Amino acid sequence: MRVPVAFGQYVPVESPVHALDPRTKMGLVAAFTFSLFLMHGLIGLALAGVLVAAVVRISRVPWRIALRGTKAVMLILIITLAAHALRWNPATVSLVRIGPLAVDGPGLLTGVFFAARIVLLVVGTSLLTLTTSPVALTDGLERLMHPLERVHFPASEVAMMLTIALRFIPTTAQEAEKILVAQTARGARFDEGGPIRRAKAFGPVLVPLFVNLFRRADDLATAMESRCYRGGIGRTRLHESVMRTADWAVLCLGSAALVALGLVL
Amino acid sequence: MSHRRIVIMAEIALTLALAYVLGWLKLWQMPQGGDVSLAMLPLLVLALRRGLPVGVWAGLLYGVLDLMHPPLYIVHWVQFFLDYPLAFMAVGLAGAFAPALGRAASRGEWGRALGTAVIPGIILGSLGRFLLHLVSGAIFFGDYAEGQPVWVYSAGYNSFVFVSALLCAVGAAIVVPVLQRVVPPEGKSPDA
Repeated sequence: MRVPVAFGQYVPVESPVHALDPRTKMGLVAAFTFSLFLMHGLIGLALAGVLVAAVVRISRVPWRIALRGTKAVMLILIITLAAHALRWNPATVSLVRIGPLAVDGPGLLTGVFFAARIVLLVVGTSLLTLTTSPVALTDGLERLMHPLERVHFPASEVAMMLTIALRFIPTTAQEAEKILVAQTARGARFDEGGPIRRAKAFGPVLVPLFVNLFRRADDLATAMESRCYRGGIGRTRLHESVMRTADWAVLCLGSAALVALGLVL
Repeated sequence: MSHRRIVIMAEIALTLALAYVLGWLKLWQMPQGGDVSLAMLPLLVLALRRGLPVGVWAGLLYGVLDLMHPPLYIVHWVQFFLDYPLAFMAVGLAGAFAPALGRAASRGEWGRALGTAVIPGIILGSLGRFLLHLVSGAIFFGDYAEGQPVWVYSAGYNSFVFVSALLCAVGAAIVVPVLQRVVPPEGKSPDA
């Protein structure tokens, strides 16, 4: 059993999409999702598809990676199509009929509509994480949450916890893999037997992982304190992310166009 | 900012990382996003160690972190809140049993700790998560029910939460007593 060490799907290439501020991309993804749910015809979805294809092209993210997410929803797509298109012994005229099973024309169109919407949702939302590094994402999230600090929401602490979590995912994964390999070398089997047996087999892996977690947390807290960490108050950044004029223009025009597209089509 | 607060922040952050890694080790993957894994275990252990507010915060942040790793199964914004932040926040409800665990652990009664804190905590946390997935499944994934009543379909599909909870109970029974002895929540033990 292998632990995938690489986190997320960020594709580190230079492109105009990568260069946008994370807040701009988050806003556009929200507007895109909202627009998809407003649309009620295939023409609208086709236009949204062209838009997504253009963004994938501009972002220089390989098509194979951009479409990878759809593989996981393939079964949902098949069920969606089948649930809408297939009829058992219908009384009305059907598009294709094999024995009692028939493909209903309008049902097929509805199925294609819902399946296309799922594909666009998966690919469209994936573009945010494909073109924004996890650290930039949490930074953007912190800035978006900043106004909530007025009502005592700990936006800075939340962002710090997410940043530490992202930083330690590869370390934890490597540690888990090392322990798994060591236990396998001692004869442990993690891919045999029922779920309970497997969970029990994980016992000798879980104990060191958890003990290390809480010891490391204590060390990390001491390290943070010794560097005068005291929350968000007065904290500055090495790389300040700034919403440029281009970001505002893309966010405002893009969101307005997407919502208008959703309302019209 | 107190040392204790920073320690709790670091514990939440590293718990998220471990939950995420354990989430990769899927023992069973389901078609619409559900899976059987030990991802809930770190969230449950932290909630039982630090209490309800910390557990709920960790759950919320895990829901947010999970969003950064597509593919996402989002069909509506309400479904997004139900299946991601709120469902994992509910896991943190296990923290309601943290005082009971502390009392039993301080007396070294590990059998009592399991019976009065760990197992009830896991049941409460997983029940909360199940109920939120149940509502989401019945409302937003009812199309897949294929003739069954949607609530029955949703309950059947989301029963994977209880399988995960059972595995987490096995894991917690092994891990919690060791943690309480080696790295107690109130600070480093002398033999650590």
